[in-house]
Amino acid sequence: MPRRRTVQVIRTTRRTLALLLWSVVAIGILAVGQEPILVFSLTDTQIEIPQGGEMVVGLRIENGSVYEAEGIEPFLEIEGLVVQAEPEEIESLPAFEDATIVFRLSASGETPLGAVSHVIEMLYTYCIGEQCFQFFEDIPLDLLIGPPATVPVELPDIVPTESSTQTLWIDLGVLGCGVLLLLVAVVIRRRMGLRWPLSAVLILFVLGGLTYGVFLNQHEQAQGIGAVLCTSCVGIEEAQHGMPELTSAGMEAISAIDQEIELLVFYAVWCHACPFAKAMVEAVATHNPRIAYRFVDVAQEPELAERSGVIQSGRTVVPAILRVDTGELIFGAEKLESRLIDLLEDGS
Amino acid sequence: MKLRNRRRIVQGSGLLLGLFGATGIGMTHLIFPGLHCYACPLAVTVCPIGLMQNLIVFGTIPYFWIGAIVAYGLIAGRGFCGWFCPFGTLNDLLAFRRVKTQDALSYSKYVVLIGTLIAAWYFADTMFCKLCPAASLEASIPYLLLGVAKANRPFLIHMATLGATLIGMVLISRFWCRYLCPMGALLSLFNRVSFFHLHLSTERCTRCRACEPSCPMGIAPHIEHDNHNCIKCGDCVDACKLDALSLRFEWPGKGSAKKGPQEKR
Repeated sequence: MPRRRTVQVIRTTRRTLALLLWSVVAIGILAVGQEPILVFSLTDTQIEIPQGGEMVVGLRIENGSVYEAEGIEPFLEIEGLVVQAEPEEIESLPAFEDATIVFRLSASGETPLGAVSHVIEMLYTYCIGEQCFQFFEDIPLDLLIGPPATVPVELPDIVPTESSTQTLWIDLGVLGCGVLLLLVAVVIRRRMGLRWPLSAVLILFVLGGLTYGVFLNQHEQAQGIGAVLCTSCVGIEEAQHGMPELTSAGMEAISAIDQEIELLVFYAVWCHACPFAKAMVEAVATHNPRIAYRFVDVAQEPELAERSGVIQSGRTVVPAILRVDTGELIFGAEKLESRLIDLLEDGS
Repeated sequence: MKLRNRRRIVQGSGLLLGLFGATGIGMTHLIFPGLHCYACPLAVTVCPIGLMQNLIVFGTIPYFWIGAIVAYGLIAGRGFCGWFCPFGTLNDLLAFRRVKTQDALSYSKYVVLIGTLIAAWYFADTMFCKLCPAASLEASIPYLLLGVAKANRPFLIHMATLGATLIGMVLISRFWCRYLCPMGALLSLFNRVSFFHLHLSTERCTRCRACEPSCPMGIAPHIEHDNHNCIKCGDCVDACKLDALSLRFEWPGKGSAKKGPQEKR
């Protein structure tokens, strides 16, 4: 009897642990990050509106970073035009997802004719831990108010999407169904002693997970994560946080460089060591205008990364700084100031 | 051929897949069915634990990852630890002391797994990777030799975790697999439903306990052949003179889920 009781206790513990584990997984996967880099693009950059008519234009918002953007709100007021935005605000945009805001611009019969240059002011927020940052970005918009249309103008069919809300409901639905099926199969196994329903549900998870994952391009995401080595991620070096501060000796050495030098800074959006390396190069360049630089996203320009030697033994290593004229490379962000100065002084 | 020799061949193929980058093939979309660092210069597969942490940081619902993990769990459960995982193979090669320890301690690997998930979420970083001894061996040391890494604090932390794990492996067989491996914790959830499993014939078993000392995971196979910690290595099968234990690959729908042999005791 005592052994049987022990077995029961162990089983209950296992079940509790499993439940706890999957709850954490569920919370974890719903957890959202920070630091978005939003990319805005208009469906049409030259918009023609007839007097007394209307036109629609879509603003596509892509979140290319690993973090979620929040409270994405557009501001567009143009004298003489009635502007309606749909949706008026996107509450959140998860990593690697996109959304579209559709603006409906209506001109009255008295709106003056001619070209008008305007901007859409975008406001959004991201948070790292308890620190939140607000971003403003202006999207240029060129309008041309034309004479009243003689024939009805066909409006482009642009559908507004609030990616986060829609996909969240789909995801919650899919996960909810999965959990429900799993629970039913487990109950059948325990109460009726039938094993095949649980196996069938798990096979469904395999087929469904892989198929839907591939449909969502998650296999590419996995490959991308595996292919790029961020030096701080697996503990090759410590992630440097905060803004880099140049030493006075470093500033003198940088100012003394009298050669035109171009640097390429290779980074990945999820790399924790990269922002520091980028900021360091920016700081160095402000002290010596002869030093030019460009940031290269290795996911966007893999061929350039390969040509530049940023790929080490098949792995793209970031952050990496390349001196273009000599082809010299340095990796990582540790003791970066001295290594960067050495790189700049070599052969100068 | 003894099961152990067959296992060595399969373990060799696991190592081969782990180091397939030597052929010049880059990273593939495949998730490795074990603990193998994707930062390894020769890796062509993605580490499931590293990927899981990244997906938590990104806030991605990991459908592809779930599909792959459930597939591996359903095929063999912890059989991958015993037969395929390169870090498991290292554990295997250092399994000199096949000691039996308190079973309750083995639940610590679930704590590691949950801790890994929470740390990834809380710090928005792959915290487990910075301590992972597999990464120490497969990424830190190779990158030091390649000149990318330096013998800095993170490197020394990696060496400390690797050293401690190696000592643990020598003192307690399959130390990492038993107590600490988060991938083992994930696969163990599927151990009872996996196609590849350890079968016990209660008719043949005389409870002679000859299998017990052979188990590198410290399990008594004749009473808990479907234990969550069983890595299905088959050492107990080799040790059993009565052929009461066998490794089988069969559709799990066969038979009843009730009244496992260990409960009849």
